[in-house]
Amino acid sequence: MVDTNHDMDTAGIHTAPMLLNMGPSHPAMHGTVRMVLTLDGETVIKCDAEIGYLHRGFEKECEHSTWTQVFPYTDRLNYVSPLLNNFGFALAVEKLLEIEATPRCNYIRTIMGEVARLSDHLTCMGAGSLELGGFSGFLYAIEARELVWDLIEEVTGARLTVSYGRIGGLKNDLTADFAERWKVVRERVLRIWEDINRLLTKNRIFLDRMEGTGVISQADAISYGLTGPMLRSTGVDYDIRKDKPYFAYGELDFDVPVGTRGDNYDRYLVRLEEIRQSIRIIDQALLKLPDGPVNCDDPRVVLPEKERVYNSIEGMINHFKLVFEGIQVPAGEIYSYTEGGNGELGYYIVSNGTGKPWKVSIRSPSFYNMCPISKFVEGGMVADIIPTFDTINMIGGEIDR
Amino acid sequence: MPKCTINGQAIEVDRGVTVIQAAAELGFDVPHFCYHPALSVPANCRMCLIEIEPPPGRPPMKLQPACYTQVAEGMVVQTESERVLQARRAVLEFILVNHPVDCPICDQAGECKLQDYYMDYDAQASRVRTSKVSKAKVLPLGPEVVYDGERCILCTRCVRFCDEVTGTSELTVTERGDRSEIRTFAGRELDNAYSLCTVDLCPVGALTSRDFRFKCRVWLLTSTDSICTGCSRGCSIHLEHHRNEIQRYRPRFNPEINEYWMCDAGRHTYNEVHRDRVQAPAVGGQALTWPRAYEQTAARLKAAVEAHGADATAFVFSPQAACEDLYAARGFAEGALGATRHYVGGRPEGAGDDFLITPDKNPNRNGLLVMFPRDRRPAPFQRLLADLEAGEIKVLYMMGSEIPLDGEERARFLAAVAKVDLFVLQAPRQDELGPLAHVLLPAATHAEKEGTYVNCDGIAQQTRQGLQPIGGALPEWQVFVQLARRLEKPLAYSFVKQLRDEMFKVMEENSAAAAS
Amino acid sequence: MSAEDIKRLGRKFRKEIIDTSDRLGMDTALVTKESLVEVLTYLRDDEKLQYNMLRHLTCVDYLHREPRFEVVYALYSVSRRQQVVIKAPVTEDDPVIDSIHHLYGCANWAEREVWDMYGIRFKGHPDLRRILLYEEFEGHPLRKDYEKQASQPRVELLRAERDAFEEFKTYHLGEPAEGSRV
Repeated sequence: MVDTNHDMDTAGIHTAPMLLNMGPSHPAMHGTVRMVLTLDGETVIKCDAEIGYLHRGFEKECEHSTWTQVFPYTDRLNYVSPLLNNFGFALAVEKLLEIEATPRCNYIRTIMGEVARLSDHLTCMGAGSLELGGFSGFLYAIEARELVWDLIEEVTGARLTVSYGRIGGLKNDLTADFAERWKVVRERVLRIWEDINRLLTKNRIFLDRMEGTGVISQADAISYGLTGPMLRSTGVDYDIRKDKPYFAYGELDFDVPVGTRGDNYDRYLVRLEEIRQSIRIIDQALLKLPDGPVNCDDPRVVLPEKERVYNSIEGMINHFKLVFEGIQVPAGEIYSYTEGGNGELGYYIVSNGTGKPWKVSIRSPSFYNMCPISKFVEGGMVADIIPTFDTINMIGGEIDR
Repeated sequence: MPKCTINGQAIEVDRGVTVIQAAAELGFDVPHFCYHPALSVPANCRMCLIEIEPPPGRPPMKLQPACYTQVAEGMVVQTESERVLQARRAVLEFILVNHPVDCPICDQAGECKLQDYYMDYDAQASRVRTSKVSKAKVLPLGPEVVYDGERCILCTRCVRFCDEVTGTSELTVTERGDRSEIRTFAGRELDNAYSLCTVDLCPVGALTSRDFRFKCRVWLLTSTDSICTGCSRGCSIHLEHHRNEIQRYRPRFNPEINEYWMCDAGRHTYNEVHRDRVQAPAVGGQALTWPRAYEQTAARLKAAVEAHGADATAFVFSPQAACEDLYAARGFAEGALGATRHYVGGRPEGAGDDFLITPDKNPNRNGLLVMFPRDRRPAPFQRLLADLEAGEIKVLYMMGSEIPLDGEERARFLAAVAKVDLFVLQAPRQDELGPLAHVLLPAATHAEKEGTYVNCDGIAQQTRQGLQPIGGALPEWQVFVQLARRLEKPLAYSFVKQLRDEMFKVMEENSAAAAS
Repeated sequence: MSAEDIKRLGRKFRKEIIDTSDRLGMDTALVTKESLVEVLTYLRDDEKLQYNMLRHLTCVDYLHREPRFEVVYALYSVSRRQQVVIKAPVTEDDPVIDSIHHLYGCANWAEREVWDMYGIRFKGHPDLRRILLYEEFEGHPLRKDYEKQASQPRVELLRAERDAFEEFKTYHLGEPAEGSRV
């Protein structure tokens, strides 16, 4: 691969391209990706990205599990915003079953989904700051993320691998003091947001490294299937929460930040603003949160309460059959999509009428965001790979499944 | 030939056919508990109630049981109308009123009609506000069957089975009302030779098999179509296994041989597949890999036959083996080995009855006999004993470790075998002959290979492979092919399809000649 | 509106469209694999349709059905906000279909993944190699007849890597660092 005929004679110095291996074990390669770079000095001539180091065979495992057993797998896709993955899958199966979640469930899914999105964007920005040398920005972002994760843990029981969504509803309702806790978390997260903003947004070094690097044109972005903050930074106003509203997004008021130049700085700004919009969504949703049950009342989909399971044969049979044979989803196929942390998270599921899926194909936003990596990187400098890779926010679990 | 319409589809059936059978022909499943195609129809569970349209101008009729109502000319039946669905929900609710919350400890879970119908037709919460009736639990009705009164829905399938199929009438419904229970008549046990069929018949977990109780959960089982090798009836079975261990046999419907039934002794023969298996090929007591075993066995056989002559070489065919193995064995014995003395081994005879059990306890005797033309059939085992004691046999190749002799003759055979110069034993189990063999080759049982077996009435059936062979065992025909090649007299086939093509031709010729 | 698009597609490609459906609101057209590139080019370039984003490319293995595979293309028009799904059947005996990497940039990696997981060749793809699995992997795991627990051959370490590993083992286990728990 090294082109030894490419001797360049610059001021009498013989040069030859160098093959540099970046990753898979590298502090800046989020979740293991290997990039084999051909360098001419500091300029990247060719980049060959190798993914698959975190491939765990989810789609095959899903074909051998019941529908409900797929939820732990969805947790481990985009593991910084697992709630969004859970709810996306639940929505897909509910479409095949042709059932509607209850209004309260839709609102809670919106709220918890946006909380997860906060966690995702904070991690991305923190890691971005860290890898450019600004350790403080990282610590601020992680402090905010810890607050958010404490909140998630109170509601779902886990910080990362939550498995909170269920087909037809959720695992449990919000905690009774969620609204008060949110007020506390919200104040502190906003204060930290201000700190990060003041630290990074007009920071000379940050601007030098992020502005003008990792540029992609709108046409290229669409052709490569980019979605989420990546696509919005190029000026395309595409957000599934606005275009095809699901859960409670249709009833809430929020803006979608759109960039102009499609470079790293714009992506950073888009994410920064999205954090504020997420907070806005959660505030509104909590005010409008309707009462009522969290799970829909179809006994063929939702497990009965434990009291009925242990004390009546009907509840026992219901529980037994749902757990061991799975929810019997009528045969058919659907492509269902939601707005994940990084873009359009889609589930193409095929059912053959039994309790186990025939196929679960996950349209992961990170995979498609990584497709044009050569375009981003080639022609630029090695040092520009770092901020580009940060703002792509490639999550290993999502790209490799 | 009355014509009727079920769910909008027309069908013409014979006289006497019931609505449930007609609906099944059209592909509509009517749920039922007490109905069974092989037993009389009591119509006591009321689960199969369907709606029949009344004659024109008449008010709506009561729902009729589909299992009892015979099809009449012009009948219009609805099996999924609103009234029918409501009736099913009500019937299930009544049955479940006193049903114990036993699913986690009930064997039937996973193959229980109550569970399946509840999810399909009921799916409503319990309205019971009192405690349930308690009855006898874990009551052995006989040596094989355990009864649980609380789970019983009193469909009386077991009672009718004992009355009509076995004719032994051990069971009856005792007490009345909500205290009814199934019991044996005073002083009697449920001990007929087919008592475990009641466990298959029971739609819920009221009757359970003592042998299978709590052994394995039903959804973990893999089911393979096979046949029972307990006697020459060759009942069709579902061979159900988990993690390469057979957990139970269950009869498979075969209208020509065993219909829905199977005897208890046959069900227990699954233990034979796992008992005392040969663990690896061994020559001179030393375990070897198969290639080494082939070499050394072929070398020893060649030397021994050359030393003592073809006339002193005996080959024992086993009626436990499949037709493919026996065909290859005959090719090997006559062609490669050149043995002139052929004998038949197998298990000794036992008792039979007038239903399914035959006295011949070997599954493939007919298959063995039809491998040979009528005048060249192998001799009975008693002749082998006589020839051994007369010292005329120096080389013995035996398929199967079963000895069809009892008592004193058996002991004499074991003593005589010890004096043979070369004893090659190719069998699944070691038994008493294993330690006496100079060469011990593991063979696959019917559960571990695809083989054809011909039953006592001449019906050939094929088993499917269920288990991975234990102890490195191979189907016998593969071993014969390899040994023949090592003896430089290769057989004409090396794939099972080639073998089967030849074998079926020979079997047809021989059986046609024998018939004429 | 995407239902209208499917109708328009049906009028233009009468012979090539095998079936259409709009079950559960997802407008789908089943086209022959030979006509795939033509159909997708038309969908992308026609000004009234403008399906300029390939949302998802995947394949489904319907074992025991002829044709066995079905390659699924979910297309999206960013300007018109409409989605259609195009499916092309591929048989087991001839698992080849045309590549569309020249129409959509992301098809490059997506097709590599379908090759990796299902073994469907994409004619004209510039660089068809495995993407998620290592090169020495045997078989195509998402096929229904690939056993989930099948074991794979281990890849021999290069001699230099093996020597380095041995050296590492001897050094670290022979002389553990202060306070190490070895």
